[in-house]
Formats: sequence, C-alpha cells, structure tokens
Amino acid sequence: MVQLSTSDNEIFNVDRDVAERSVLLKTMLDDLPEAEENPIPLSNVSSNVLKKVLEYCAHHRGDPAPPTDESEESRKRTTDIGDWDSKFINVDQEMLFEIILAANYLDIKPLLDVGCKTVANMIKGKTPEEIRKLFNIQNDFTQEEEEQIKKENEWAEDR
Amino acid sequence: MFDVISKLPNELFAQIFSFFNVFELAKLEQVSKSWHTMIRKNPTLWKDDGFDGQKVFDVCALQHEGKYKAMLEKSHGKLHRIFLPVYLSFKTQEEIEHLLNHLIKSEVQDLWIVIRVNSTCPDHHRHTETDWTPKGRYQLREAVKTVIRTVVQCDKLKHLRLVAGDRVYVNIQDFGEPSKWPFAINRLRKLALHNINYDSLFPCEELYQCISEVEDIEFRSTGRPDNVIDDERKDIWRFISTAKASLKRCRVRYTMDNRNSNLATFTPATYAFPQMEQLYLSICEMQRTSTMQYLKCPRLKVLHAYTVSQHKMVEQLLCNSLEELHIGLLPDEEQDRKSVLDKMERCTKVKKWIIKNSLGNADIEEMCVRLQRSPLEEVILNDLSPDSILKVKKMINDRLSGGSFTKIQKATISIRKGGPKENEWLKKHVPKVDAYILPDRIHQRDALFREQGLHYFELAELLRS
Repeated sequence: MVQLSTSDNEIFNVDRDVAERSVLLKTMLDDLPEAEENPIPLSNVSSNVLKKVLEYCAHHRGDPAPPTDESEESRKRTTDIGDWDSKFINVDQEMLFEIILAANYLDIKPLLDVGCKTVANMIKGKTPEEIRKLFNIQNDFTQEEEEQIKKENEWAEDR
Repeated sequence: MFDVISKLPNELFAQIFSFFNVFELAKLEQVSKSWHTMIRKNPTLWKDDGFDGQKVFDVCALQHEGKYKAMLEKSHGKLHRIFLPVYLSFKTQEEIEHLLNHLIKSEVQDLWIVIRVNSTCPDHHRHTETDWTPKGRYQLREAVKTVIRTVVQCDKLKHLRLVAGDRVYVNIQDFGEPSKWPFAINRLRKLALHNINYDSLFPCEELYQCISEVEDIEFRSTGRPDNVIDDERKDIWRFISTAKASLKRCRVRYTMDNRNSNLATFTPATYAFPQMEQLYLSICEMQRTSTMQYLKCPRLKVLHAYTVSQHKMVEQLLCNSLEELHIGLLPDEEQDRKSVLDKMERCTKVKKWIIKNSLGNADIEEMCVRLQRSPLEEVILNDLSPDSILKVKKMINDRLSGGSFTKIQKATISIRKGGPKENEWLKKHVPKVDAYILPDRIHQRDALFREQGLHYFELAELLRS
C-alpha cells in the first residue's frame, strides 16, 4: 500500500501497482524506499481530481506498460477512445482540464492521451465562433487582424 | 467558467493540437490571439500531414525540408497529390528552386502551390509584415516564375492550382523553353490560377496546347491591375476557349478597372463551349460598355452570375438547359433590365434558384414571375432582409395556389446573425428550426459580418405555411 496526500490534505491509500501507473510515483517509489512509509505529497492535485485519476489507474492496473519512446512517426493520429475511457472522461470541462493537468504532472501517458483526444474531439469540425462559445473564449482580435489571418489562411479553405 | 484551454501549459496545448492537420490548424488560429500564437509558435504542429503513402502529401511551409524530400523519395512515384505553401520571408530563390527540383522527378499528378510573401513560420512571423515594397513584389514574382518553370517539367501533371499572395504578372518567357515542357504532352485536366495574371500568355501556341484538354478551369484575381494593358489581352475568354471542346466547369472571378484603356481597339467576340455544364462568374468591370464577349454554352446546367456587369453575356447564357440559376444583379437601364428578365422565361427547367440580397424586391418579384413555369425544387435566400424574405414567401405562396412552384421541397435561408432584433424576428417567423452557424468565411470581406457568423436555416415550411 502507498499513501498519497493531496493539496487539500486528504490521504489516499492505494495499491502499489495502481500508483505505479504514474511514472512519477513509480520513480519515486523505486528511488526512495522510505516513500512507502510516509504519505507522498501531491501538492498540485486536489482530492476530487486524484479520486478520478486513481479510478482510471485502478481500471488500467493490468495494462501492459506503454512503449517508452514512442516515436512521432508511429504515433497514431487517431482520436478514437475506448468505451470505458470515454465514459470515464465524460466529465465537465473544468474536471477534464484538471485531469489533463494531473495526468501530465503524475506522468500517466495513456490518461493524458485520453484527455487530449477528448478535447481535440470537442474542437473537431467546429468553426472558430463555435469554439469560442464552447470554451468561453474572448475573440480578442481587432477586425484588421482577423481579416489578415483569414486572408493568410485562404489556402486552407474550399477543401 | 474561464477559458481553460489557453491556461494549459504549452506542451499540453501542443499535444491537443497534434490531432489536427494543417487545414484544421489554419482555422483554429482564428479563435483568439493566444491560440494563434500557440499554434504558430509550434513548428511541430505544422508538419506534413494527411500522407497515407498513396495519395496525399501536404507539407506546410518549407521549414521541414528534410521531411519533404524524404517523403518524395519514399513515395516511389505513388505520391500524386502535393500541397505546398511557400513562405518567402525565410526562403531564398535558390532554396525554393532546389526544393522544387525534387518535384520534377516525382510522379506528381495533382499539384497545389501557394506562394506568399509573409511568413507563417515560427519566429519569422509578424502579422503586419506584408511586404509591398518593390523588393517584396520582386521576390514574389521570382518565386512564381521558379514554380512555373518547375511545374512545366512535371510530366505526369494533370491538376495544377497555383496561388500567389498578390497579383503577379507572368510572361511566356517565364515558362522557359517550350521544348522542356513534358507536361504539354500529357495535357492538363484542371487548371486554377489565383492572382496569376494570364494577360501575357496569349501569344503562346505551346501553352494553348497544354490546356487544350482542360475540363475544369478557375481564374481568380483580386485587386486592381497595376499596369494598363491593351484590351485585346484582357479577353480572358480567348485564353479559356482554347479548351472549348473539353471544358465542363469554369469559374472566373475578377475585378477590372479599365477606365483608362482605349476601348476602340477591342472587337466583340463570341466563344462557344459545347460541353460546358457549370459556369460561375463574378466579373466586375468598372466601365461596363467595354469588352463585349458572348459565350455560347448550349448544355449549361448551372449558372452563377453574382456581380456580372456584362449583362449581355448573362443574357446569352440564359437557356432552357439550366437547372440551377443565380443572378445577383440586374442592369440599371430599364431596357436592358427587361431584356434580361425576358430571357429568363426561356429557363423552363430550373430546379434550384438562388436569390441574393443584391436584388431589390421588385427584381425578385419579376424574376419570380418569369420563373413560374420552372419545376423549382429548391430556393436559397442569401442574406435577404426580413422584408424580402416575407415577400418571397408571399410570392411563392400566391403561386402555389395557382398551381406553380408546387414542387418546392426545400428552402434555405441564410442570414447574418445580425443582433437580437433579427434573431427575434426569425424566432417568430421561423420557429421550428435549429440555428446552425455557417463558417464565417462566407462574409470575410464585409466588415459588417465579421464577428457575426451566419445563421442558417433549412425549411420548407416557412415558404409553405
């Protein structure tokens, strides 16, 4: 069992193989034997996010380790997400981004991938205006700037 | 809620955007300043894309030179489509030439090259950097010449689309020695030139040979010509008519300010295109009485004439094979106006009619009368004012009871998302439909429509109710 302590000081007890889904935790546990006795502080992750992340880790505890140096070429450009994962990631935007940040911090590549793909899927096929609406983004271009960008990107139209 | 994406660290942002191809990225840049910066500053995003080893190869900017070469070499001639933007601010002519030389040895059939003066490349990019200096223009022109000299050596080439960032004039000499044009033997099927001026291409027999089997042609040039050329050369149709036996689809769009030219030298001409099926015209000449060209297209099915000042040309094209009609402008002179309208009575097979806001209510009404024998199935109302929309609705309803227009199944209304007033109006009169915002590029030129996007409604009920 490993103990993890969150930014809001909640302690989570998890199995070592679950915790080791996180490359960060795995390295810590391998390098610092005393980490097993004391709670590992995760000052960047809040308890509700960690709960979610651990749910993912527990479900994927038996998965084979992802290839370490996945080259850019072989990386599949697909946005497909597995059934369980897509149900898991069906959360509100804020949680989604917290999960992405946590996965990045904890170095859980597959989870980070699921998160990024989900965001990409939300964006795919939408117009700039729809995207602004979806993510509550302010259109901060001046009219001239916007015109200019559109002109520059004309080549991407009509396709 | 706040803008979460922009708050992500750069590397995560990049990871999300790695799922998009260069075409999608170009659109995403338009979302906001921070998106724009992050997308452009990430060279890894702008890599080749969509290459499946068989068909398509898009390389964005030439900074990925190595990759581009490798792809061409690896493809073993299977590569037949290449999209290649060239940004001049960070490439010298020699570098461009060197890179393009790889194309000659390839088996490329479909080539799409975009040449721009300002860069879209990380670290080189500044928005206001459009270079209109003589040097910038010179660079652009030289690059276009280099490209042309190269593409005429690609002997498998079937489709060519060449886009210049600003208007460029080319001479036949820029093509190099005609004996070095293998592509002439194979002959182009599709040719699109944007901002590449065709004026000086006329005297060249060899070039005529190259395009004599073209089926699809597109000429687009914007802005004013910066030198005055004689009128004979302005007759774009003379060039196009080289492909008269094969041409099926043609798109011509230009604005010409010919107030200073000597009109007396120009002789009227008629060009016949027996196979032509689709014609999209947007020709605006400042001096309307200038060039008199007549086009004969006996099999024409689709005619779009948005802003054609040559109403005689339009008149000639109104024939009974037309199935789709879009006339954006009627002549001012009463007699000319009547003459165009009367010719519309010939069109008895029109299934799709597009009405634009450049037409007044009276124009629409008269067209409606002329078209009432047509088996109209679809009407598209483009940016019409609420008043005009209701007017069209009423006109069509009146005729429905008289037995005309009973085949209308579909009406599409696209209006500007004007403001609360327009939305209120639409809600009241078009209650059932879902709003769908069309890509805002449709009105990218008009300052009024920027920001707004469009509302798009599809309904037959409005017209029927």
